[in-house]
Amino acid sequence: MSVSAYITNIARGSLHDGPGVRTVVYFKGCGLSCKWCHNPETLSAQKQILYIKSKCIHCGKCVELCPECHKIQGSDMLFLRENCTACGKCSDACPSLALSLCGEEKTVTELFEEIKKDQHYYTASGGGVTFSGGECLLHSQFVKEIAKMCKDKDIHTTVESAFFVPWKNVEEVLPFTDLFFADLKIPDSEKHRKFTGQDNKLIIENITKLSNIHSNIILRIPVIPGVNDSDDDIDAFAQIIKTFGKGIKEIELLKYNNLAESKYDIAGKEYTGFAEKTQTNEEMQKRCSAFKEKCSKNCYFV
Amino acid sequence: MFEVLKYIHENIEKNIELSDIANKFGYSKWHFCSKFHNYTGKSFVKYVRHYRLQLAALDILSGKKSIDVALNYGYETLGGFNKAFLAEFGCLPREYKKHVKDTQLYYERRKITMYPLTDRCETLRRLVVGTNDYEDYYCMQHKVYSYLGMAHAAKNNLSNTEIISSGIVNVLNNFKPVIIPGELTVGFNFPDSKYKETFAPDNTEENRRLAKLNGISDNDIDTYFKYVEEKPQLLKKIFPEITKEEQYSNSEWAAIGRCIDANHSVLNYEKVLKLGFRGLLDEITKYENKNGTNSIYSSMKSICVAACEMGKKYAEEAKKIKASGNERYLKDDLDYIIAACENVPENPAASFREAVQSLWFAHIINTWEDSINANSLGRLDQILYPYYKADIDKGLLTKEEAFEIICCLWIKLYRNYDVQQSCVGGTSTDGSSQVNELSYMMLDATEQLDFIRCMSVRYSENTEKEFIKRALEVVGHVQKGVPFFFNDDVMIPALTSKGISIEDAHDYTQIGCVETVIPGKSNPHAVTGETNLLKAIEYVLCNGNSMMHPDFKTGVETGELDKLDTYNKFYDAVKKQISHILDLTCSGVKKHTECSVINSPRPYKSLLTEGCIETGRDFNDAGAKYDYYQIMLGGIPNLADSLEVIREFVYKQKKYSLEEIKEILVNDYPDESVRLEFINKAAKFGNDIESVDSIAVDIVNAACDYLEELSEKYGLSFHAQPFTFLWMVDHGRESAASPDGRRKGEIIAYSVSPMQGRDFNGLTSLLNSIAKLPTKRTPGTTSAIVEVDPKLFTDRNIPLLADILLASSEKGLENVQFNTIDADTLIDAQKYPEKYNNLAVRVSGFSQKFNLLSPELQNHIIGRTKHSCL
Repeated sequence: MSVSAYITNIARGSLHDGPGVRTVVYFKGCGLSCKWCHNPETLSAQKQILYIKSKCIHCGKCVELCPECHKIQGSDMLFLRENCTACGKCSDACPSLALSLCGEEKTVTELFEEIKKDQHYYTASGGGVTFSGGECLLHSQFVKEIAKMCKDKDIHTTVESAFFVPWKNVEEVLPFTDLFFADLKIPDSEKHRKFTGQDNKLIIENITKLSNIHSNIILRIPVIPGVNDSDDDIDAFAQIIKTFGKGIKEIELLKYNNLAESKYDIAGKEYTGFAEKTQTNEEMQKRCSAFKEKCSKNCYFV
Repeated sequence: MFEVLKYIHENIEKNIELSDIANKFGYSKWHFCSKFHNYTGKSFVKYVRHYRLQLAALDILSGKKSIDVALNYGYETLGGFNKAFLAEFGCLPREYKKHVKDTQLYYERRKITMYPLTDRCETLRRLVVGTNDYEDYYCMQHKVYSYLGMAHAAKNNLSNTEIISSGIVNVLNNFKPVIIPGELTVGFNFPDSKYKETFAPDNTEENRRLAKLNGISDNDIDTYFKYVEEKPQLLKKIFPEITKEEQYSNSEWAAIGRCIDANHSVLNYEKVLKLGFRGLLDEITKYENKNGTNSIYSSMKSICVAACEMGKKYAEEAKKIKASGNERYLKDDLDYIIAACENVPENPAASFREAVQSLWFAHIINTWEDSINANSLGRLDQILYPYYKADIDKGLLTKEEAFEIICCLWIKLYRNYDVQQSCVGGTSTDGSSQVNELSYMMLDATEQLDFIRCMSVRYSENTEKEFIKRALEVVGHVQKGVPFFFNDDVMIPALTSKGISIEDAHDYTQIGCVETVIPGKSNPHAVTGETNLLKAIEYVLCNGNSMMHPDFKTGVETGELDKLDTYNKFYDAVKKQISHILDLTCSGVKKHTECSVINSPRPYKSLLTEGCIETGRDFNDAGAKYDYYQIMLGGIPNLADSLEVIREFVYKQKKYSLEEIKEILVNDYPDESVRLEFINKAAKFGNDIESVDSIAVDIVNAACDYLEELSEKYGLSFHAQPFTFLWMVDHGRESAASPDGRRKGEIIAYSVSPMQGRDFNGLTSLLNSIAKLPTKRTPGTTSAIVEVDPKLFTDRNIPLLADILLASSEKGLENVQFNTIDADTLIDAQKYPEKYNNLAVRVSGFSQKFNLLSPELQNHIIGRTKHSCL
C-alpha cells in the first residue's frame, strides 16, 4: 500500500532551493511555530480551508452548501473557521477560488507523476526535487519512499528541514538525500523557545549528528531583524557551527522580508511577524563576511 | 551505524578496509554489508568511493594536481583515479575543472569582448533615439521620385513590371545623397513613417516645404502634386470576385484569405556583395539570351544600371564636402566613404567595410520597391563573416573597428519602428554550430545601443551554451524582448517536411516577426491567410451561423445541438468548422494570388531571388525556387480551453446542456459566478495538464492535415503558422463570449501563448505545454511569448535559463520570445507615458514602444502571467 501525505503546494520550475531547476514540494505540518513563518498555511498538520476575502464575489454557493461555516452579513461574507471540518465542499463549489482546500492528500505514486514531468529540466540543469514545508521530515516515511523513487531515476534530492524531529526520521531519509538544507534559527535556546515555541537542543543535536555522516549540508539562517541579527548573535552562531562536523558545506543567510503577511489572514492566523525593518544588501554582505571569518565556511545571502 | 559513518568520514584519507571496519564495530562482514546498505542506500565500497571523489573534486577545483589528489585519496595510478572520476562525474578531472572554469570565464569574457560604444556611435545613436527632425529631412525623396517615375511610365503605357522598375530607377537617378557627420555607412531608405497612411502626401504648404528642404526641384514638386490631384491609375489592376460568405468571414475576422505580396522578403544580398550590380547585369544577359527577352529582364537590367551609379553619387558628395573643408566631418571618414562608394555596389565588395556598405545599398533599393516594413536582412553574421575574417587575417581591420562598423549599420537599420529582422547563429548541414565572432559582436551592438527591437537568434542542441547564455543576458539587460529564439532542431525538419531541401532548410531566417523564409530563394507570402479557429465553437453552437453577427452564415451546418449527444460528436462538428474556415481562407488566398500576379510585380525582388532570373518569371508569379503561403492559425489556446470546459461540464459532469451553454454565451455571461466556474474549475492550456494540452495538439494536427488537403485542392503550398500577429485584438473584438470564460469582445490569446493570466503552474509547465504542439509540422513557426520577471535574469540564473530553454527545445519548442518588464512598470507607464519613451515590450513577434500601443493592447500585455520561478 502506498503511503500518502498532505501536500500544500508543488512549485515547479524553481531556481532556488538547491542546484539547477527544481520542483519544490511543500508538506503540511510543523513542530515549530516561528513567529516570522513564511508558510503559515503549512503549520497545521490537518487539512484546512483558506479564505481569500478579496476574491469572493458573494455568489452565496458556500452558504447554500454549508450554512454552519459560511454566513452573509450585510455586504460581507463570514467564514466561521471554528465550525469548519475541512470537508472541502465549499472549496469545490467556490467558482472564484476565494475558498480553497489547503492540504491535498497525495500518494507517493501521484506525487512522483508530478515530479517526473520536469525530469528533462533536471537532467539539463543538474536540478531535481526539494522537499520542504512545513516540516517534511514529519513525513519521513513518505519522503523516504518518494526520494528512493527519485534516486532510481537519477533525480537529485534535497531535504529542507528545521530538524525538530526524532533522529530516526533523519536516518530514514539519509540514504536517498543528496543535499540537506538545515535551518538554524536562533543560537540561544531560551530565545529559540520564545520565538519558535521550542528550544533548540534537539535541532542542534540532529544537525551535529548529520554533519558527521553526510557530506552535503547547507546551513540556512533566516536573518530576523531584532531577533538574531546582532553581532553577539553571529558570535553565538559561530560557536555552535564550530561544533558541527565536516558535512556543513556553506552557510546561506536568508534576507528577511514581510511578504508573507497576507498569507496569515488567508489561513486565519494573526500576523506576528516584524513589519518595520529589513536589512540592506550591504548589511547582509557585511554579515556574510563576519560568518565567513568566524566559521571558516563559505557564506552568502539570498 | 551512525558511529560507523562518522568513523569513515574522519578517516577518509586513510585506507579503510571493509573487514577492518566490520571488525572494529563488532559485526560479521556479511552482517556489516547488509546493515550498511540499509542505512546508506549504497554498498560500503561505493559509499567510500563516492565520498572520496566528492572531496577530490573540491581539491581539483582548488588547483591541486590530479596525480597528487589521486594519491591522497588512495588511488595508486592516475588512470584508476580518472576512471573512477569519469564514472562519478561523467567527465575527466581536467574537463570538470574546465567546465566549472568556463562558467566563471563566461562572466569575465564579457569584459573582453563587449567593446564600449565609441563616441561616434554614441552621437549617432542619440541622433536616432532623440530627434524626429532627422526623419523630416529625407522622407519626401522616395515618395516624389518614385511616383514621378511610375506616372511617367504609366503614361507611356508600359507594363506593370516596367512601371514599378521605372519608379525605382527614377529614385536611384534623382535622390540627393546625404552624409551625416560621423557616419561610416551611408545611405537612407527614406522612412515614410510620417506618411504611412497615404501613398501620396497632400498638396499642403508643409509638404511643399519638406519637399523643397529635401532638395527636390520646384518643377518636380509642381508636377508631382499635379499628378497627385489628378489621382491617375498608375498600375493596371484586377480584383477578385468575393462571395457573400467570404465577405462575412472577412468582416468578422474569422477567415481572411488574401495575398501578402509586398514588403515581406529576405533577398540574396550576398550575390550583390559577390558580383556587384555590374556582375548581375552580365548574369541577366546570359539568361535573357537563353530564354528570350521580356519586360522582367529589361526591368531588372534598368535597375542594375541605375544601381551601379548609387555609390558614386555618395563618393561625389563626400568629395564635395571634403573640398568645402566643412569642419563637422573628419577627413578620414570622408576618405573611407569615398573609397568604399567608388567601388560598391557596382563591383564586388573587396573588404568588410565595403561589404557592409554594399549590403546596405542593396537593402535600401529593396525598401524602395515596396516600402520598409518587414523587408529583412537575414543572417548577417554568416553573410559578412568571410569578409571580416579575410580582413582580420590580412591585418586590414581590427575587432574594435569591426564592432564600430556593425554599430553604424545597426543604427541605420533600426532607426524606424519597422520590423527589419536580422538573425545570428544557426547550424550547418553537418550539425555544427555556425556561431562566429560577428554573432557575438552583433549581440553586443544590440545591448550597447539599447534601442533595437527586432533581432533573432538561431540555436540548436549543438550551439555553444555560452552563446545562448550571452543571448539571454542581452534579453535581461536590454529588456526589450530581443533577441528572440528559434530552435533549429524543430525548424529544419518542419521545413524539409514541406519539400525544402536540407541545405536550404539549414539557411532559414526570419522576416519581420516570426515568418520563416529561405533567404534569396523563397517567396513566403508571410501572414497571408489569417484565421480565428475559436469561431468554430460559435458556428457549432449556432449551427453554421455566427453568434457575434447572427445574420452572418459563415460556418457550415453541423446539426441541431440535441444531436450532438457525445463529446466526440461535438468535437467532430468543431473540426468540420475548422476545415471550413481553412477552406474559405485558402480559396481567398488563391483568388488574390491570381490578381497579385498581375497587380504586384516585383522586379527587384525577382533580381535577387533564385529561380526568377533563371526562368524569367516574377517573384510574385511563382518565380521563386520556393513559393509558399503562410496560413495563420489563431485562437488555438482559447479553443482548447473552451473544448475542455464543454467536455467537463456538458458531457462529464452533465451540469449544463449545450443549449444552456449557448444561452450563457449569447448573453455574455450574465452570471459572473458561472464565468469564474468555467475559468477556474476546468483545466487550462499552458499548465502542463494533459487533458487540455492534448486538445490543443489535436487541433493543430487537424489544421495541418486540412492544409495539406487544401494544398492539393488549390495547387498552392500552404504552411501552417500558429501565430496571430497583433490581430488577436481584432479576432477578440469580433468574437462572441466563449466557454473558456472569455467575455464577448475580449482579446483572444496571443498565438500559442496561454490565454493571458490562465497559466499559473510555473515556467517549466508553460514551456512543456507549448512544446507538446506538433511544431515539426508548422514551419511558419509556432510562436510564443513568455513573460518573465526581469529579476530572474541574474548572473546566477542565466545559465539555468539556458538549461531550461535547451531542455524545452529538445521537447519541441519552436520559437520563444521573452518579455521582461514587470506589471508595475507597465501600469506606471500607462499613467505617465512621458517617463517611458524608450520602454518597449514584445507585442507579437516584434517589440514595440509601449507608448505607441492602444490601451487595449497595453492591458492585454499587463494581463499576461509574469513568471518569476520562485
